[in-house]
Amino acid sequence: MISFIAFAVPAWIFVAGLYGMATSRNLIHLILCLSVAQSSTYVLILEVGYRLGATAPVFGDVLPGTRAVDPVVDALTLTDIVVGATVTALLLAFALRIYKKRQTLDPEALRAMEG
Amino acid sequence: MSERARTAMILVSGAALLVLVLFAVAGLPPYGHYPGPYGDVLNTVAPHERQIPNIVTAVNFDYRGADTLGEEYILFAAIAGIALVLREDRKRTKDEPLPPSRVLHTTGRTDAIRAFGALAIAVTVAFGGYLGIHAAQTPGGGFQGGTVLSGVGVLVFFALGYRAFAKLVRKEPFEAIEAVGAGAYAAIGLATLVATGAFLKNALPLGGEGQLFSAGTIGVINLCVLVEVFAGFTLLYLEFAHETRVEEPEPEQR
Repeated sequence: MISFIAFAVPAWIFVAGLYGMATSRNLIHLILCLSVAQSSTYVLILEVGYRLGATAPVFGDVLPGTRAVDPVVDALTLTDIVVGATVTALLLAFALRIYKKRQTLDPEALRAMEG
Repeated sequence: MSERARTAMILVSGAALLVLVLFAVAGLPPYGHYPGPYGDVLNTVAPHERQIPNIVTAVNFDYRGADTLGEEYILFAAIAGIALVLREDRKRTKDEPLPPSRVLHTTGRTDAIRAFGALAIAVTVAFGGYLGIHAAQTPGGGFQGGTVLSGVGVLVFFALGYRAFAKLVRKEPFEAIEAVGAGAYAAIGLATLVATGAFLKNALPLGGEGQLFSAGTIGVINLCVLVEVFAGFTLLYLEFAHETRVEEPEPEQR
């Protein structure tokens, strides 16, 4: 049961982000929803690498050989948070550009392609 | 597509997704019981093999160093893209980067804000530097340290205004610094390839575990990433700060 609840959390975060994206009426809101959906992957992979009662895989204060969680998922999450932030910034730059050109951020009003 | 059709499509695909997720979760090892073995092997072997207590850093900059190189270039490309997208519009404004005219966020900051800003900058520099250089010893490294250090630019922007920020951060040197940081990582990879026959092989002396200069190439790569992330994020803030400028309205014709 605890297992189910733990893995339901990232699924919930992902679906909440997806729902926001699908129903969004504002590009900035849409981009933030994408970030929310993306962050669900961090929760998921950190949970996969988690071990009850284990310490962080940094053996400065504890001896090597102490029960530790998976360092690989930690490394993946760490780099991806930083890279994800810049990609979000790139999307926001697109939103800014669109607003300057079309005076709107509503995806509904941006249906027609424009050269 | 009508709004109703779209909602229906989302509901149907959402239900299909739910089934797949439940199916996948059922196949996962139970929560809190990571089965290994890859992470466990690294946790056991790395402290001795690379003389490094922080295994996350060892994975990032050594065992999976090629992946991190790719990640770093995503960051590089994203920031280049931001510059490309935002600068396009500014071509038409002649007064870049420092407009002679009225500018948002330049009107007087109170002493309290400037004093607090200076204090916050000092703390940010100290903490970011500490975090950035202690990649091997404690939870820290170039990605975290660079991000924190780049906060200095934001603090200057908030505490002293756009003009001070744009004067302090010129885009040309920061672009060069960012490129050097990104390029040096790849250069280390090529150098180790030539010297040892393996890309990003840890070929430098390892030193003693827990020392500031230890763990071989990990420390050098960490420094490259620190520089790249710091310069990249600062450029990113600069591009968005330029967007807060407002142009002087044309003087009214009489």
